[in-house]
Amino acid sequence: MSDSLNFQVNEQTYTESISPGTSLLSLLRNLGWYGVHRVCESGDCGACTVWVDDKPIHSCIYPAMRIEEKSVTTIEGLATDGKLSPMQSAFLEKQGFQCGFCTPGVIMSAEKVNCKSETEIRSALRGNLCRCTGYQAIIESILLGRKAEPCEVRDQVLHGHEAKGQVGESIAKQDGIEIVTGKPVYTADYTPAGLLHLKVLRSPHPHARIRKIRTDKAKAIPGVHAIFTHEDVPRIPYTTAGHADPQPDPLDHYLLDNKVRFVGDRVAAVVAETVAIAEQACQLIEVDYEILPHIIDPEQAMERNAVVIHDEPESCQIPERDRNIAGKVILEKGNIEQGFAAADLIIENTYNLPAVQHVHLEPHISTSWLDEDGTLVIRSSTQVPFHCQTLLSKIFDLPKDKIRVFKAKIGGGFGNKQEILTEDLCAFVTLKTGRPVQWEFTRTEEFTATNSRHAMKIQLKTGVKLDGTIVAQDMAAISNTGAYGNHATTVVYLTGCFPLGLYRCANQKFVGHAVYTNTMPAGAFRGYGATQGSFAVESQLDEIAQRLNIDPLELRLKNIISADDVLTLGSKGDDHFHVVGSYGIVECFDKVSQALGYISGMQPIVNGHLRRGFGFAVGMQASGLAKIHTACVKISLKTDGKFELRTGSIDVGTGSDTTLRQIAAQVLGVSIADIELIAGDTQTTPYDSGSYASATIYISGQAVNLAAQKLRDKILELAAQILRSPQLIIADNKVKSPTAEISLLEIAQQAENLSAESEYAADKCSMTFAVQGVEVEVDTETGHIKVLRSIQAIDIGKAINPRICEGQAIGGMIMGLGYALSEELRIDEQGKILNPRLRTYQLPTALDVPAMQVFLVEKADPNGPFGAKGIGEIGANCTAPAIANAIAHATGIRLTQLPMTPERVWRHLKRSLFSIRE
Amino acid sequence: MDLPNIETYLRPTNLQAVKTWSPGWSWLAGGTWLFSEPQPHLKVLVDLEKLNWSEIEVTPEGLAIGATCKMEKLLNFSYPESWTSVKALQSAVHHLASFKVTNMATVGGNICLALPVSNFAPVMVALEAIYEIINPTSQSYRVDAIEFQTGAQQTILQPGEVLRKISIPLPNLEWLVNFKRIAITTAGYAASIVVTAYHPQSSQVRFGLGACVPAPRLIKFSSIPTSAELSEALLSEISLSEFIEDDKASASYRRQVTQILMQRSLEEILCQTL
Repeated sequence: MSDSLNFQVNEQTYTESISPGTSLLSLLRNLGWYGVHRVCESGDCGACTVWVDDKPIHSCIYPAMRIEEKSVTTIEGLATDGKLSPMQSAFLEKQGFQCGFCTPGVIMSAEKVNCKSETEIRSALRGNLCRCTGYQAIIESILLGRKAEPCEVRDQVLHGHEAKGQVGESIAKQDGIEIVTGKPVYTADYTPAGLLHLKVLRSPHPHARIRKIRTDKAKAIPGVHAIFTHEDVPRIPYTTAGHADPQPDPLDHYLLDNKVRFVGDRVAAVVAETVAIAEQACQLIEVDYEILPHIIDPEQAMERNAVVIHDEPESCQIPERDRNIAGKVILEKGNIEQGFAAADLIIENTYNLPAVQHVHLEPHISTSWLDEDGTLVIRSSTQVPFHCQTLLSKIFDLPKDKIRVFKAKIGGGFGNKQEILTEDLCAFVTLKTGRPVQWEFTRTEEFTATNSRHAMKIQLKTGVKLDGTIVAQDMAAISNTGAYGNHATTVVYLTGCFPLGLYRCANQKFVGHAVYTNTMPAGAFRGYGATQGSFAVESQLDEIAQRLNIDPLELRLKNIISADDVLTLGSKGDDHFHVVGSYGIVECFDKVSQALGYISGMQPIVNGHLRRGFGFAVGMQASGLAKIHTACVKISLKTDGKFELRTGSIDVGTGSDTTLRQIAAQVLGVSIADIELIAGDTQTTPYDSGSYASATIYISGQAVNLAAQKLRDKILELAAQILRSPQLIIADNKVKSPTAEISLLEIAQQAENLSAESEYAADKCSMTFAVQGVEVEVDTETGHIKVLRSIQAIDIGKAINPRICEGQAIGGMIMGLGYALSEELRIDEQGKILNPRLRTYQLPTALDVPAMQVFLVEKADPNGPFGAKGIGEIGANCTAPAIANAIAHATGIRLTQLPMTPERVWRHLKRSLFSIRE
Repeated sequence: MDLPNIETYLRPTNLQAVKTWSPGWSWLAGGTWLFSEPQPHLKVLVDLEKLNWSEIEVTPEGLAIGATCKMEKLLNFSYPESWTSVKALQSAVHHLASFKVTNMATVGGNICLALPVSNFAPVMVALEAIYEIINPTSQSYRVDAIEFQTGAQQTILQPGEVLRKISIPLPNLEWLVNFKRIAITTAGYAASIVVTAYHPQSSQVRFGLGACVPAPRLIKFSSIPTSAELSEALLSEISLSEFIEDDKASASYRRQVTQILMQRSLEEILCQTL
């Protein structure tokens, strides 16, 4: 049944038939108002906020049937007569966004927030989640927006370009206008004619063999086009991990399989006219399962007689399938037995780290179709279009040039889009049906059927001399990789490599196992294993400092690697691919302790049931991946005197597209507006490994730098002939000799096809370092932790765009805050996730976030472009250990399990000598 | 989210128009919860909006709130100055969700949903509210708030019955109140909610407890309890097994924080009277 309703959207009148269970969100998007974003569909995140008769509401939980005779305003209706609203202007001015996916909803809410103080605004924003910014820039934008004047769109563009936007300038993200006006720029905002929708029936069982699937009832529903099962697909083993060849991951995943390995695994794919029809068809598919014994505990999974999760012979690159071992890493230097024998104090702990979810606001989504010449085209929200192209070429046995993968603007990824999760089936269905197909994950699917950070159990034993010298470190990590082995080995490798490598200890050993279980897979996630290892190492060093009565900062500085050290842990022979590079750790420590007002030996502050303390941690993460992460760039001088920069790199929402243009602008002596960018498209841009491993600026940025230099040399060479002078500089869109000058426009008109290309893979990767300090308040009666201040200093080398770097650091700190205090994917005995909703998963909101401060310590790195190092991941690693250490300083209790929920804190307090009211 | 299984959406202008009531039918008040979860068992939604039950009225007996009164109306209504307890209703709105949810969500919807974490249930219990219910034959009856919710998402409502109105008796509107809620993050589910009401003239104290137990509870004192009396009453009136034990928090933690919130809440009220 559908009823015809009259209503208005942004002053346009509609008469529409609406199916009765439709949400206003879907109605608006179906009408083409793409500025209304689909994220949680449960009224928690606010990305779909619109006004109904001027009242702001979450359109995802508003029945579309109620819209009759009402008037809706979306973000697209906010700017009138070419003028941005004051709030939109303020968000541009203060850069209150990163990926921009939450932004339309934040602005539509902010316009109606009737409060003045920062605290009131933070409280009002409880219904707006942002995963990128940490809210600081959003709050600043709102405070400004309440006072600002309407602003011409054109002026705003120019205003953004006042600065030239070369290296070192905090130029605005260049896609700001489209973000604050809600332009249809994300993957879901394009729907080709004849689009079909894909839905997957997911397994209710953690481990089962599929005996039979009956699809006749489901196929009988009008609007269902096809249903595919394991019997219909090519049986090619692959990994969902987007890695360059040689693939380090087990090849253990299939398009559709005759076995399911976790609650949420793929069973069958339905393609239908609408998402609703596809969903209903999924409910009618009958599956006969042979239930198999399952295993959710990694240690049990490693036992010899355990259930074997990957017993299928086609899967390969599995180190020990009989013990469910998907990855094994041993790193060693010196002799730990000798080291421990020389120790005055040995401390051993076990740390438990949970699975957590990325919660990028834009879900996984791809749309596929066949081009006129038969090319398979995939528009996808991916961090790795080129790896995706390679994978699809293998699965479908198609030449790469018959497959085009490209990305639109991306609404966050954090590693979860370094996985190929939607493109494979979309492509398959398009190839089978010849029709355009879209597959968009629901928020529940994001929580239950994508990837998490690897849950780990880490045993760490450290031996020290009485003076604090570390003489031995022995670490063993068991990493739960879930049902599939994507990123299994490489993540657990970093768990030992960076957190231990940070210290100048002669005897170190790390043994890491990544183990299959019947739980949702773990995969790539900002920090990539180093996050887990840092919690263990940084927590234990703090405990050692306390035992030895040495200041925790002093103990770290005494043992931390120096500028001249060689990083040997994790390298083979003389092949040192990790190098210290530029070194600003000491300055980082100084900045953080000074800003916090920390003085060695400070006692905790006690005020009734409240106790305050300070805590610190330090972290290290490589800039990119040496030797295997490759970036290619082409820059051309166009006939209009501007440049076209083509790069395969991916801006996940961080602002890297802006930063890369800054590098080109600097080298070519023009402003950022003169650099046009085309990025992330296997057909139109040169190869790039993709956006992961903190690589974009360090590697793709260097490729831009090198290509721009080559082109500059060509331009200078040509100009030298024209101007008859060898002494030339390039600046202000001109080439100048001491006596004459020629504009780039004139050069462009005289020379045809002036362009340059580069291909760059870093031979060595420099380390980025970060130091974090926090002040926390512990409520000893409830166990509640309040982080009062959070300060991070990053040894960044050179900040190409300081504001974007700060944004990365703050966003990382907040992600670390959630990891520390509230986030955790909890599972039942079947491995089924118990809290797959934003309301139960518990991300920090604006009100849960403390005042934050970032220091960028700039000492040019010898290897990165303009001395820059990577910053994408490091920010997330130090928050949790710093908070744990601050809790220990405040109360004496040490938590070794994350998240440090109020109940866990309270239980520790109850057990400790520290008395509390019960 | 879309509810693809819904086949019919009714918008009656009077209750008599709803003649039959079958399994798979559901009332829709604000819709903010119904549309926030898959509802595969539902086929028909009966939207209450056009019944115009959204009044908020000062009557000789006290405060009357229509079941479909949107929560935000509670914030902006002008109440008699002596009605100090209204603050508890307003706190319930502030702590419930974003202002964009409370622009749509209704007081009656929250009560009938009967989630243990309902903000309104413990307020209504502490203020000894009375609910008016209409049955399928259009007869109405009244029930005390404490009798209404019987468990997690369970109430005394029979199929086809609907909450019409909430009344808070006049004397109860002049108590001093305090609303406390504890959760891991601001927007997360509460582990405990404590609503304290104190009558300065008689020194009576009432605690409405929510979130820690499946259905709201009331603990009453005829005079201001000492800390020990308060703890003892909590221990004796609600056994540990009655507290919710789930993946979010254990029963013993919920009991602990409930007791702490009761103490702090009472202390804050008493400070107000100094």
